[in-house]
Amino acid sequence: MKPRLTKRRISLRIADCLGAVLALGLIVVLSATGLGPVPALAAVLTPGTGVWHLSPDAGTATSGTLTLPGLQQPGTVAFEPDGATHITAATDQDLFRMTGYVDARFRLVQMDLERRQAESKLAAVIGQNGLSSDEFEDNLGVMRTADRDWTQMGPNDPARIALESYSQGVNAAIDQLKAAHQLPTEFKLLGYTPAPWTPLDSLGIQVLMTQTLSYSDSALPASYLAKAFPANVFNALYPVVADNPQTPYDPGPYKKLPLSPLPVMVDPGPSGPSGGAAPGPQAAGSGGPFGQLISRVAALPVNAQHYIGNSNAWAISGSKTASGQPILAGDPHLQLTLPSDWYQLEATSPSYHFTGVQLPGIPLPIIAKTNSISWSVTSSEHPVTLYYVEKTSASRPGQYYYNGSWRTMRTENYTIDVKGKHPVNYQVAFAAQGPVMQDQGYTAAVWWAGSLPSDDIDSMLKVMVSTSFIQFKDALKGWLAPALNFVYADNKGNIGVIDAGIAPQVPGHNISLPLPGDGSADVAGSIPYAALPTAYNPPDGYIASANNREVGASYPYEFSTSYNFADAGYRAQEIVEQLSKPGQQTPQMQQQLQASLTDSLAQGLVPQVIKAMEGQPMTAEQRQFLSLLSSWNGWMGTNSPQAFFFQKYLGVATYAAFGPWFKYYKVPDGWPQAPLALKPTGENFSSSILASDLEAWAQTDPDNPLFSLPDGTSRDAADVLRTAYTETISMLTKSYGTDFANWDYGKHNSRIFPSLLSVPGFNYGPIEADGDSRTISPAVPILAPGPAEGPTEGTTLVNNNKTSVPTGVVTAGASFRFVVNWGTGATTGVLPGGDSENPISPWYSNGITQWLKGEQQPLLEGPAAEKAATIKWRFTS
Amino acid sequence: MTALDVRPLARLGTAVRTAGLSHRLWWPATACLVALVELGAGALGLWWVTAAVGAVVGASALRKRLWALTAGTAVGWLAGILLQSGGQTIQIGGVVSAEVFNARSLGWLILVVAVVYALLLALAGAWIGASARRLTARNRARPARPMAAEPAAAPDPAAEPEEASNV
Repeated sequence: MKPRLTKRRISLRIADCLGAVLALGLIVVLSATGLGPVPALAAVLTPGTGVWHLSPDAGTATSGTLTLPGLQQPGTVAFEPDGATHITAATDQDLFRMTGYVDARFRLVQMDLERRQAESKLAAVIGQNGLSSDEFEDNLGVMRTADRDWTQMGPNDPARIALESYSQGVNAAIDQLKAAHQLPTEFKLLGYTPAPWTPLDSLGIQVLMTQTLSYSDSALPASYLAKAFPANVFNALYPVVADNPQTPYDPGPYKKLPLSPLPVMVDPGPSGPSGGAAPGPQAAGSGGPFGQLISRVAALPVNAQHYIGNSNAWAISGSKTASGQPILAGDPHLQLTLPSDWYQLEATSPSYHFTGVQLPGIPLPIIAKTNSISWSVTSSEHPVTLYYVEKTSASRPGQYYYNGSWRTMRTENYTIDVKGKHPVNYQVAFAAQGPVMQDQGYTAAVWWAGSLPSDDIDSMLKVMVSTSFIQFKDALKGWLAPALNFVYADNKGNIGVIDAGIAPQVPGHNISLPLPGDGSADVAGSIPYAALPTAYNPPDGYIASANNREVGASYPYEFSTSYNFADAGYRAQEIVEQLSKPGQQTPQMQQQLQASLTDSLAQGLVPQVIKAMEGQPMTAEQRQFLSLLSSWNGWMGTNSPQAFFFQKYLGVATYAAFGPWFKYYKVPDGWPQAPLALKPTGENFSSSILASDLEAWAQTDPDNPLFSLPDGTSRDAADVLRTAYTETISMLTKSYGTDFANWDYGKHNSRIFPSLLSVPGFNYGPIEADGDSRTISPAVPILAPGPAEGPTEGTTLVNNNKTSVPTGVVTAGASFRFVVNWGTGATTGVLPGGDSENPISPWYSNGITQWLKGEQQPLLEGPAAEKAATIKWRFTS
Repeated sequence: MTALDVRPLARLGTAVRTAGLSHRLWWPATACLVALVELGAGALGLWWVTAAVGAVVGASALRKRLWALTAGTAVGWLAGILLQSGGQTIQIGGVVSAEVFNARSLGWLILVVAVVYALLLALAGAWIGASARRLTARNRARPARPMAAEPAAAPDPAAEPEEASNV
């Protein structure tokens, strides 16, 4: 019998077909566009165009001939086996083109994410998590500044030409990667392709780096301390110049010159007429005037503001070196991300030749050696971020009081795309001094030097062709922000330093604290260039800069204070101590010094502790450990129980000394990134300042009244140090036992080199950490995106100890080490990372091992580099 | 012929069967053909070809067509992935799994996901093809056993060979 096409059968067939269409439709949607959190599967998983298609930077580079449209003449890029890169160009513009190409081939994800951060476009690709950063950058005005700088560059401006050439190179690489379906995995997973690169992107990254190095909110938490304490107590605890020994490289005498003009507002401001209502006043009791602001800043990416600037740079005159010629040593301190902030290369063109490091996204070196000169940089930590408290009124929404009358805040509206959601409208309000960085209620307009019109790129181009300190200093006149100490040594036997950058002044007001926004404390000008800290061939034969205050107490201008935000000076103290020793300095000694783990504060305080315990009744553990402490030289090494003791002791002692006063004056708790309340453990906004007070007063002012208690109980330094010693030993014994081997520093402090993408699987570490924030080779905790306990997969601890490391995860330190020996012209260096951002590339983290050992390798140049290079790209147009 | 007339494909299946190819060999041969097509298409990023091949196979009257399709798709995609990744398949998968699952050791899982995805594409296509075939199928007579001395009837051009439906 033939089966009949019954109605039921027909219905079943139709249902079958519909089901098939739905199934296919679903899989096609998932393939083409993705759904919710699922990315477009086809783009990710298809063999030829998905993640499997091996990206060219998944391995080392391979030799070949490449085309770079726009190239004026053929050029080469050569790679050594470890990735050290050497670019040789026949024209200057080709040099920037090829630099752009190399940067894009190895760091495209890094560059794209950084320009997105600068341009408030992070949320467009990563969703809601990027929104607070985007809002912040719109508020601060990174791209308002970059836009204005680009607009002001004339057609023949060398900076414009360099940026345009660089962009051509980047775009050539992007186009080739797109055509070959070899864009990095992250673009495929996030479901977008990078837009063409423009000079504006480079300028945005430049302003973002300025923000990282100079945008500081120290004035805000300091204001709470200044309000809580009486003036005499505040000034004693937080002096202008820290009380421990200081080593300014410019000790004076100083010139008092008229200020250079600066505008009241440096932000370019809104582009059009204001519209919409500005935020009204905040309800009282919501964490104080800056509570919300600090909380917002706390939620930002770690490079959004200045958390670490602990760089070192020093130069030694030929009179003190074995060769008779200067030595320059530099190590900038940043978050030690993978990939690094830096790309190390040698570059040669008709006008330029340098060996050094540049920031991917910007075509020029920041630290380098040329044929004639060399320089390295440290942050000059004086206030360039001023906060103006605006007077507002609930009855006058959108207005502020300025120069005797109520004014309406100007506004600018932004639309922020958020992946997977509706775009967000964001409004920025402007008072007279700058953008208002607050959501509701209390308002603080921000004057930030980074918003000034920038000549940084032009300045650096001139630096690259300077052949003397005079030319070098002249070239840096246009360098406005970030304020950096440029430490210098040349092939003619000269050393020098100039603190280049704007230093705003508000006569009659303390710029380290928030200022009234009513017009009475507007910026009057900047310290003129001729009066900025500088030194040239000093009689001592060396110059050292380690973020310490560059000038003495008699400097006739408002400058850094201990709380905003100069380093206390312990690294500088150790550097100066070593450089001032008799004998001749060699480059190898500088490499060792860059890796030094000596804590000068420990060297100053521990003898006072030992002295305080003399003749005191002690338990067996206390006596035994005191004996260990007596033989300790302040070295914060991984196998040192004394180092761990000291790390804990400092918190306990500072709390013992000053905690009662913090309680007495009801200092508020503070916020996650700026905790104010003093506790016996953990970092605090004032930790480093109070520690320097303790050390200095223990030596020079042991009867300081602040050692006594608020209730009148008399104490001196010895009492405090003694109490802290017994408490610390008791705490450590209770937690870790009496076997001092369990107190080894490295068992309780770990280091991670975190992935820039915050993917724990791409971290290096955790490994045992050595050093602290005061050692020349610093270890600074900023964030730990990966697990803080236990090793991450694929890594092993140094001693194969796979037990938890629960305390002290450090993620920042010397991001590059560099020593130039003008006796031979040779340079050594090491980058704790590699050229490539691809985690499976052998050039991803290959420099870390050498860095951990404190070693450096020769940075080859010219024929030596030619000989060592095993991979070559030949470029044609 | 209607737009969805799949009778030629069905006749192809019949022709293949009656061409003398051992029935044990035709489905591995089909699998190989599928694998080659998808290897080539995958290299060009033409992911939709997998669904299209599935539709063709699903619409055909070939026996064990599902086995052929899944085997061919899996082999084709796996081979394509291995070739494209240059020996770093698991490492690349590990990068993806680190970013997606926070676990770099699950690179193999990404490979599995890729193959499963390919199979889903192919099977979705096969379902469409088979549905189309069923939708356009008319009542079909089972082929009668040959009987002696009966005059041969004119072949019905609309007749289709009956077969068990397994899609």
